[in-house]
Amino acid sequence: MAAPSIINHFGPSSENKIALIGHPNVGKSVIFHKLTGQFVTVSNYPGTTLEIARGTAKDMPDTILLDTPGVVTFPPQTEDEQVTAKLLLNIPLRGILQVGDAKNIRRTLLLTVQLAEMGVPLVLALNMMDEAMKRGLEINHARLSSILHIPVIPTTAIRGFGVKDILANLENPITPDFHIEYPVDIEDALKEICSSITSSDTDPGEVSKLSIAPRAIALLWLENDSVTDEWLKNHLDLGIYNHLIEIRKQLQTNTTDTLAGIIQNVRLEYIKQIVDISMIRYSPKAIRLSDKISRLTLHPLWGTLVLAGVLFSLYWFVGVFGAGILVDFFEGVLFGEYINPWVTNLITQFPLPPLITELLVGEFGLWTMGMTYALALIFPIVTTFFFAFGILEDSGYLPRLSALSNRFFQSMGLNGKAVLPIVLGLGCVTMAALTTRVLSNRRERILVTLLLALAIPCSAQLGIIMGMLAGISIGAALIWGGVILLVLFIVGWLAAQLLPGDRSPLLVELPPMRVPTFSNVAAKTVARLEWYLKEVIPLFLLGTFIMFLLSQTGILESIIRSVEPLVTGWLGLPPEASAAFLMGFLRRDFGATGLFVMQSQGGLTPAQVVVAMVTITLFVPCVASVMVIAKERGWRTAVSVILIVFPLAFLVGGLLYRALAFLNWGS
Amino acid sequence: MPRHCNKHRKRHRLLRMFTHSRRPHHQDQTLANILPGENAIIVDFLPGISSEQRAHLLAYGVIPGSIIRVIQQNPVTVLEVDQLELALEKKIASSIKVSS
Repeated sequence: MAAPSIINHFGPSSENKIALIGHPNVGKSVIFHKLTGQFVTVSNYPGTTLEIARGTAKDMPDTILLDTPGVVTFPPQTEDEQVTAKLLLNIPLRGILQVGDAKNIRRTLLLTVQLAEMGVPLVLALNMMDEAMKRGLEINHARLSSILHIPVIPTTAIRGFGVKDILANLENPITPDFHIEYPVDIEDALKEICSSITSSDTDPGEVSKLSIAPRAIALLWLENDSVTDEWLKNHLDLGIYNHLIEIRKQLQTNTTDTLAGIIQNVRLEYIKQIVDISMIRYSPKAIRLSDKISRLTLHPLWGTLVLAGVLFSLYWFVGVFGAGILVDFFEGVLFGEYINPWVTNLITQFPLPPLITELLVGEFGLWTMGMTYALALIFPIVTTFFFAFGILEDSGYLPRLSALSNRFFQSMGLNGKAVLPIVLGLGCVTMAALTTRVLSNRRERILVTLLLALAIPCSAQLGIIMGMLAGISIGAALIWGGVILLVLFIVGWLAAQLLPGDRSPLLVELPPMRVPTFSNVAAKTVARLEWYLKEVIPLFLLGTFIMFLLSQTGILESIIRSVEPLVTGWLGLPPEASAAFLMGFLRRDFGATGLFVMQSQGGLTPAQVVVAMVTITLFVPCVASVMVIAKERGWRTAVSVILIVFPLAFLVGGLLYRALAFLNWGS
Repeated sequence: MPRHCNKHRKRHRLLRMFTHSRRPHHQDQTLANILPGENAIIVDFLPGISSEQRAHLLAYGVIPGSIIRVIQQNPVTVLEVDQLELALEKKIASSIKVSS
């Protein structure tokens, strides 16, 4: 019996969307890239395709592909998993492309079965076929296809294998003719729910406009899915809604296991049967090199050494190579000797009012300060960071890092999963504030957001800090790192004590270690850079313009004078440093860059550099990340975060100044 | 490499000789007690696991009746189920009843 098909009665304009759905780490974003030529900015460790990405398929100009966040469980359990359920319930689809992991066929099929029950045209891409073959698994995809009545395509997307077949099958997807029979009392309830929701459509057409079958909605309802609950509450008559609750309650009282458990067991039993006849395991698993490396990264001792190695490489590549060698070349040679003199010369040739010339190429010039900071200082640093991060991400190291660092985060009331937003925060705090969604509850999200805003410097800032500290001594870098870690730890610990709620223990999937492909990492780096530059350049220009206005009107002078007691008296810095902190309001790296320029002109002693770096690291996060925090966690959280971070930064900075003076270090 | 594995196994056997008396009774065995390299069958979930995490474990294939292999126990429990590796904190591992 086919699923009841009162579906697909919507106009052709709404029928051109195809959704990519699948578990995390199965290559959805890679397939999305191969099909559309676009890259999803934040992706590839579990749960970081956070929004639905859209793209047009290369050979099908009127088809829109939607890339969704990976779902571990369906019906969804966490906030990021709900995105997919919401999409299925609210957006009419022409079809679904499920991307599945060939080597974990059972798990893949559990999702396939649920998608097939929805009655939406479905294509299954069994991806990572190469890994399945290496493990001695042979999957008879033709047999699977005939059992499930859907196209099943073996792919190895990272090498482009099978992608053409996906495209061919997506042109005219067919509605699966698929049915699983549940125990009789569940079947009766399903029938009753189906007829209730289809007959009682208060808002005419709402239910029939759905692309998914009422039977699938009824199943989700019995499984207690919160997205379905919300949808039905909004679209059904209250009486009918209460009737549905009654049906579910009645059914539940007659069973010991949960309804979701019973339904899942039926599906698992069904899947076991199809797997038994469509998969052969022909050789015992040999120990692979990737497994050996994986063991090493998780070993209590070797794992720590690997981590130290990774951090050192990151420091070398981003700090020494990016912030040192590349920035020296970009700022000192390219911009300093060629571009900026040329631009200045060009502009002064025009008969412009002196004020305009000053605005463009003066001390706070839009070009000489804004664009030069963005392109000569920040650009090389974030490029190297995003490239390094792409390698870490594609190698599968990050989930292992979360297992290794679990104990550290445990003491802060978190679990190892927090390492993901924190490491990404080392790239861009704004991006990282978005990924706090991967954490399992509100308490953890607020905790990590606070730590991100307070103690995690973004790559731009980090690169500059590394550059400045490397110019002094290893000791300076250690003091800076030690103080920041200490603050991170104490604040994390205190906040965990104060925030109500329980810590959730770590549970994380460890995808196989893989050798990253250069083209993938490069494409991702470019996509992230594009996102980053679009965000950073307008802010840099705005910041420069504000600084220009303040300096022209003389307000800058008076602000610097008014915060002088704080900056010179409390932090022991020269008065000009106030300007850097003012710039830091706009972007922390902008402020740090100001201090960098001061240091390179010989205006700061080593102790002053360390104090200034600690203060600006802890200082308010950039405007963009405050906006994201407010959007994600609400204005109240955003304001409280700033109220905590701001005084704390100066408190720690001042204490450090006194401690260093007492020890007679670097004065 | 095989030599290395044997060494491990020997050490585990030794370890078990000394710790045997202190190991919990067979029926109360949890995932946290299984030595690295050994297989076990999932029996049931104890109340220490939240419904959300239970749902995730089930989705990953940690289902009563399925056979898993423990890879390591420190700093976290790592297990293999089908072709999938999972890392769990002790707190979760000790709330999963298994039989070996």
